[in-house]
Amino acid sequence: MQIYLPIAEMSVPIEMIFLLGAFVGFISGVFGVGGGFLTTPLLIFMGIPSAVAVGTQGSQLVASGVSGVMGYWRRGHVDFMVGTIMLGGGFFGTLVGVGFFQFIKYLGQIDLIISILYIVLLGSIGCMMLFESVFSAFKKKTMKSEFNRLKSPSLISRLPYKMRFPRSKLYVSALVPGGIGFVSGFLVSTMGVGGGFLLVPAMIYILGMPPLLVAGTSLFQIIFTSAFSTMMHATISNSVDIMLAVFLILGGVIGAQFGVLASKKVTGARARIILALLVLGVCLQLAIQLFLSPSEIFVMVEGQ
Amino acid sequence: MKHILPVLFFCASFLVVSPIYASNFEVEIAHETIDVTVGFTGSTIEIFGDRRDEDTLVAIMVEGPKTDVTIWEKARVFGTWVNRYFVHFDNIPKYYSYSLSGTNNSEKTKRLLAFHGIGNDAMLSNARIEKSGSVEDLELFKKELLKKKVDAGLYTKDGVKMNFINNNFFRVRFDIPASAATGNYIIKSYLIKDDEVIEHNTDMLSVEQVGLNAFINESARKHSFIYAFVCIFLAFFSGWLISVLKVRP
Repeated sequence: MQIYLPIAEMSVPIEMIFLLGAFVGFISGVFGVGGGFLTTPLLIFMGIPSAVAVGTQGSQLVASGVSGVMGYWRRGHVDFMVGTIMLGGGFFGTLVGVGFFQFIKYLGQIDLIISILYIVLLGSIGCMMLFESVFSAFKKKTMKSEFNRLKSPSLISRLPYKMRFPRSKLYVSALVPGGIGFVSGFLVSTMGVGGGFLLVPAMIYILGMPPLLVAGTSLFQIIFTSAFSTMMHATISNSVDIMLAVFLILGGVIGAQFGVLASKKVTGARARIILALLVLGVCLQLAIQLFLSPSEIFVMVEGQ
Repeated sequence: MKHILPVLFFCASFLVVSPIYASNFEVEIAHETIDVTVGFTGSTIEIFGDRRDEDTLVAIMVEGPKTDVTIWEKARVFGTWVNRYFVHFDNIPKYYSYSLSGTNNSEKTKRLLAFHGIGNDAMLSNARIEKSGSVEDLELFKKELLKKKVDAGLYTKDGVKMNFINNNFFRVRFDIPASAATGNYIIKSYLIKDDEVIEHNTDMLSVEQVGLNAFINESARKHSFIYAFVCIFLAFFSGWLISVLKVRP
């Protein structure tokens, strides 16, 4: 069934959007990730303008973030102080990201730059995840626990504006969580990904946070950064399509239920290996598009 | 039945009007608006007309809202394919189509049609163009623009066929795909005889979102802050709902 999207101003088969939402919901249910890295490229692949795909994806990240953070909050696994400082950086990163997005759109290189950003991000995260999960599958000990013994690098400990974060038992410069938040905000507003892949290792290895608090805190931060990004895209570029968001979220709700059920069967390191391969698969697909001769040498861009 | 009624009304109006109103050329659009609803999958602009003189050429042109279009040519830079050379077309219609009652026209008529922007090449040759310095073959970029628009159903390759009910009455149908832009569409019709335009009309048709779609689109543009808050609230609510419904493994 075709449905006309009021902001994207195009007709799309609604079952495809719903299935995409359900698939990403399933993935997030199994692996506990937001799934933005899959939704945005797949929406663009379906012909949704990249601005609308990125703008709308922000609201889906809010939904998956809220659903994820509730559980951590109930168990007290959210450090609101670190989260709030990260949020400050996140807002700033979002502003810079929205500006950067408009700039590359103006240059006519949006597809290239978004592809390169995706390839670098997914390639590095995918390799790291694969390495970590294979390592832990054989050693029965995760790299996280190995690395967690390391304290923050000396350069970071010398940064100014030090603050105490009692919940995480940290005494570190506010610039560190702020900087991590900045990167997250930038990713949400330019690529439509929450950046959980990047935030979690950064918070463990750079900030030195206890792994128990990391997932909840990063989700807390992603919710508000994504909400801010949605606000920016909706007001500056009018690129948030509520109709698209509703069907993506609806599919996501149902997919997530099946994902959680399926996660009983695929657990631990094996699940992370599958996820790493999935991430690398998307990365490889984008790299092929960038490096192999395209089927169409000419591209049409309207309204610049 | 839906399509026959306008024809009957149109013919009947001529029976009543023709004795006192002796215009050489009449053109009517079946519907003056096209409503874009949630389930919109495309529509048609149906035009009926009458010419008194059989020995004339009728030309009808439909132009959608205008925008700037850039055609990029990809080239390899450091092994990657990037948008390298461009030709920028200023202010060209997002939708464009035309119909002629005859194709076997004299050179002078062809020039006249081109002067009025009738025909794909004529329309593009009237557009202001900017290009990157190294582009030499401008025609190639024009061809690519036309190909992409034709593939998307937004332009027609050789115009649309004009169907004559008898020697005077004619009907033309322009297909509007679901991807066509909303806004005002201008319909220009010309009656040409002996290489001269003897009569012409300009009509307007609006393609607009209605109902829920119109409400969403208008809210997003006019009250973007409230719209953004609603989107965020909806996402928060859905997220909370997911966490409540979540099946525990």
